[in-house]
Amino acid sequence: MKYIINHKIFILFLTVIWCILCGSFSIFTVAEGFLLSSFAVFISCHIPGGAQFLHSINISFFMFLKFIFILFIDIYSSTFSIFKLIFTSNISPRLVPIKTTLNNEWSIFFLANAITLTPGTVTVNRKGNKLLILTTYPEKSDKIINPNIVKALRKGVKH
Amino acid sequence: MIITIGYIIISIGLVFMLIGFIGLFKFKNFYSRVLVSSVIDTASFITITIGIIFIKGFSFFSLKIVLILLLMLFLNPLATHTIARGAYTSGLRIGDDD
Repeated sequence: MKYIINHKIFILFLTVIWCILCGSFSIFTVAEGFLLSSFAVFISCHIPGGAQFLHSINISFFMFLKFIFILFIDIYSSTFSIFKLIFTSNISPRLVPIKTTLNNEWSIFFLANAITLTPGTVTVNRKGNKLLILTTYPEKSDKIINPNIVKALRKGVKH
Repeated sequence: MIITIGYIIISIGLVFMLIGFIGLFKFKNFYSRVLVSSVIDTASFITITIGIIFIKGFSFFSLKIVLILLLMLFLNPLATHTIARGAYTSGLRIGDDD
């Protein structure tokens, strides 16, 4: 029972995914999804390291939505910058080390993912909060990490 | 009307894909190709999925498409990062294969 109380939001999330995949939100499907999700979480907590993994993520839903919204805007704006570079044949990749102010493992993971998702930048390596980024933008217009993304992640993902 | 908008969005996604492929074939350097390929697997993919959601409207099918989109948002960077990191750690430096 304590597993269900501790991970109620995660179980709810899994239940919703189960209902979407089954294509129905009937009481029977919700109950089935809830039971299977609870069982999955129970099993995960008994795998060595599993309980710690499940405890360490705490996401604020609305801030995370804001993060995804900013990310989508960033993806499209950098897509057009990349188009400009493709047609002018002006791509000169370079590796740039960057130190983030984020110190939470999950937020660094989301930041690295966001950087790789954005066309024109790829996270190549990570040591602590130092990221090695492969970028193609000329040095003068150096906007590798959007500060709004870091701000949204700092508020959205907590320990 | 919404279906037409959906088809227009999908067409825009296909144009993104085409320009991405032009970039892929235009550049011979490995790292440039990795950077340009993001246009295809991120921008183009997201645009096409949004177009499909517009066509299908609010249904379980669209929700499943949203799930696929979320999954791809996590898995695409993983693949790109693995390829770039593999090249970097195996000693390929920028400009080696020009």
